[in-house]
Amino acid sequence: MSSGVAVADECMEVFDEVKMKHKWLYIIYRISDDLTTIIVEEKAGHEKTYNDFVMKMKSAEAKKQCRYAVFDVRFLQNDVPQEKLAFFLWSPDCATVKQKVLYTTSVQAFKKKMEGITAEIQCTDDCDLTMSNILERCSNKYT
Amino acid sequence: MSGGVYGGDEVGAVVFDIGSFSFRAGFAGEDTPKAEIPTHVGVLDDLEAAMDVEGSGGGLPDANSITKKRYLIDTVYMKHPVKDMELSTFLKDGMIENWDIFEKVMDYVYSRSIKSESNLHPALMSEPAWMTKSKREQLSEIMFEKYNVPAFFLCKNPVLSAFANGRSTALILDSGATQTSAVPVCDGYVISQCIVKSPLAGDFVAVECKKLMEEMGIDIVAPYTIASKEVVSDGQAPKWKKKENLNVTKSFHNYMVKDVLQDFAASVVQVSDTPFDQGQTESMPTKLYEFPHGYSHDFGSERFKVCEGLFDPSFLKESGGNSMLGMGGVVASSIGMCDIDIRPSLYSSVICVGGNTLLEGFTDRLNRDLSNKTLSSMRLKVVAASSSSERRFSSWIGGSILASLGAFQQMWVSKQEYEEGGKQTVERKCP
Repeated sequence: MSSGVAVADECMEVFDEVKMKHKWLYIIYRISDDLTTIIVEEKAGHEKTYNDFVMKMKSAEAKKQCRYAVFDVRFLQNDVPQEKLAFFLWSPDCATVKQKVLYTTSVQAFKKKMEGITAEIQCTDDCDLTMSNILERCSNKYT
Repeated sequence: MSGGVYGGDEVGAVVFDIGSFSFRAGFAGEDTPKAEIPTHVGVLDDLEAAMDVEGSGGGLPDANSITKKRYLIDTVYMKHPVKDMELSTFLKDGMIENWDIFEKVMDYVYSRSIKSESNLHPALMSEPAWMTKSKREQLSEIMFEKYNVPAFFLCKNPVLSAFANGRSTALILDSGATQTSAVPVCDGYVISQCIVKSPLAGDFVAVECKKLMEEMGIDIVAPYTIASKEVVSDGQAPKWKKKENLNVTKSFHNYMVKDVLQDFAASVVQVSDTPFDQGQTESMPTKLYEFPHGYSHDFGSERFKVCEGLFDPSFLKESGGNSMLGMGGVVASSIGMCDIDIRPSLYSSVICVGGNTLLEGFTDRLNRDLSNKTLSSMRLKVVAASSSSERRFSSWIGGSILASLGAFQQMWVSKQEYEEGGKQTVERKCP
């Protein structure tokens, strides 16, 4: 099921930079204002934290908009460092129905282009965005 | 073929959503359908009888001159007592069964609700998740050949409901009039082998209400039979006069009685938070309901009792009840059939849609029943839109927005593609 929204080349280039070189901590994507293309909204370096990421998500929510994001999750599991990529579909409950339909119909085509995503996390409220939820989703394949 | 054919965002597409209770139609981009008409239509066999009511009714002017059967469509014509009018529906198990009536209804919708020519507007139609291939092909054939639509798209209604609720992976619990279904949707596709259906839905609640009335000795009088009535105080016997010589058919009468029961269910019936317990519900506040013939009664624990069967079929007296699944059971067994990897995602977005979920307390009870069935570590979230129109029309709204998206225009099955590829094109382009 696809909405026909295209993915800008830049999106995949930035994604590869995260995947191969860990250049960024997270990337936030959005759909352009003319509703035709997925574009990069923000790429954040490693000086940022997960809280900054959550703040960005909340500010999109305040505008009643949805977002996509990729986060480079790092954690220790049984003393072994792990690096996992998590894909977020952020569709807050208060977003407009148009935004929700737009982002959910386009997500499939977008995700298909990304290889190496460990966890796909569909977030609709604050408790979906908690760090514990993210870690659980990234690590549960090894438990 | 691409966006260029249709130009910008505004394509003026029309969106149709057929439910077992009503048929929703309207323009894409709007937030509620333009028209909601009953899926039931009145059928008159006799041409003579059709002529008789011409003055009093209306209906389709061209219908009686062409066919022997005359169809009375929409609330105004259908809910009016007409001698020998049978009520019937074109749906069976959510799918279109009687194509003749379907076409009549479409004619009516185009001329009275959409008020425009069908060949000017691309049409998006919702379909049940279990629609068969042959029906999809027949439907697209009718839309392209008879209505000459410039472009057409078919989309499964649970998918549209999931989109309207901002999720691409979800479990849709659709409790409508004739049946309740739990459909898992993953990344925008229906997992069709995991669909679970149950006949416990709105009509079932109406039947239970009817049984309750019989037990309590209250007769249900449909408004159309009442000639006059007087105001009586609460609990007093009603004083009313009956209209004579109506000669309506049984199907019409039953439909009208069900109408009263549906209103009763919507205003009085409430789902108990916990499994039904006579003592506990008796302490709950009562609700007064005035029947159409003037009788009023205070309903106490009965208003919880009638819908208990929805959640706990073993509560029903009939022995057959045990094999059926309640609302929680439908959801849990559907998710249980899915791949273990996606179960957490489904449990964290159980979306309730359909008119029957508007029963007071429905989502609270579902939440409770499901948390008893799942492990405590499973994150469970039952989602339901707060407004009644968003819940009843969720798939229409999803379709309305999808069809209005500029980028979506390249996904439509165009008339040209249909002519080149035949009716299989729909199967290929619409998942």
